[in-house]
Amino acid sequence: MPSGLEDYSYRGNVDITAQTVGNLAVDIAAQTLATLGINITAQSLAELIIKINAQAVGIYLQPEWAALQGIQKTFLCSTMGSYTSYTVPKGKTLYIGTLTCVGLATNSEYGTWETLVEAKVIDWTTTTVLGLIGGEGGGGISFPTPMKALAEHEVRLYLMNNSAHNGNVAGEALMTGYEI
Amino acid sequence: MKGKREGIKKLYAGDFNYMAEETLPDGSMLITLVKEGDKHIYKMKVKDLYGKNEEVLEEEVKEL
Repeated sequence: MPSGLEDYSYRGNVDITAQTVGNLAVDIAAQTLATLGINITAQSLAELIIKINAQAVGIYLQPEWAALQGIQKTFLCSTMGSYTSYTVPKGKTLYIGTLTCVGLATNSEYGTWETLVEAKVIDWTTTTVLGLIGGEGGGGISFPTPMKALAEHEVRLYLMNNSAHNGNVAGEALMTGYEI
Repeated sequence: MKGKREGIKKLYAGDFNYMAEETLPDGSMLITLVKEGDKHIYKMKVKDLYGKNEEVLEEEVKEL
């Protein structure tokens, strides 16, 4: 709160840009605190201590937080032998956390045959394969370390039929993640 | 109905949560974009997406 002003609420930003910060103590005593955002960009940080004394504190993993913030992304490819294409906007990074695919032979003659489908995520800009999943009838995986696609890179989600037959195999590939 | 390039602008800006793409027999792509809180669904048929000859052939903005 600006000094000398008697106010019951305060909204503001504190920006510190310094070569070194010896000690910075922030004490907040409030009945409610809507959002407290702390961004630290430093070459090194000796110690970070955060003490929270509250009745309830919600802590979310990044994918959950992304969904709460409305920045989650889902991509669907529904054409066998084709792909879904997306170019990450400037200043953003796409993190992909899950990859799934399903497939089935729509020709009943092949209904009991093995139907092997594959989903593949490729960074088309660097031509590197970021993720793969497949199997009989499909498959799914959740990546402990998300796949990362940098700004202005084109990402393609491919859906392919790897069966030993072509009994009109149809399917879908889906990848989910978030973009920040 | 909004402008014909409304959907493609959203795609380039990453201003969506859900994107579905289907390749059509003529090689063009049918793209659907949905965003939380936006009461519209953007559907567009695009030729040569991200290519030099990219062209939005059709666009439909549906109100939810």
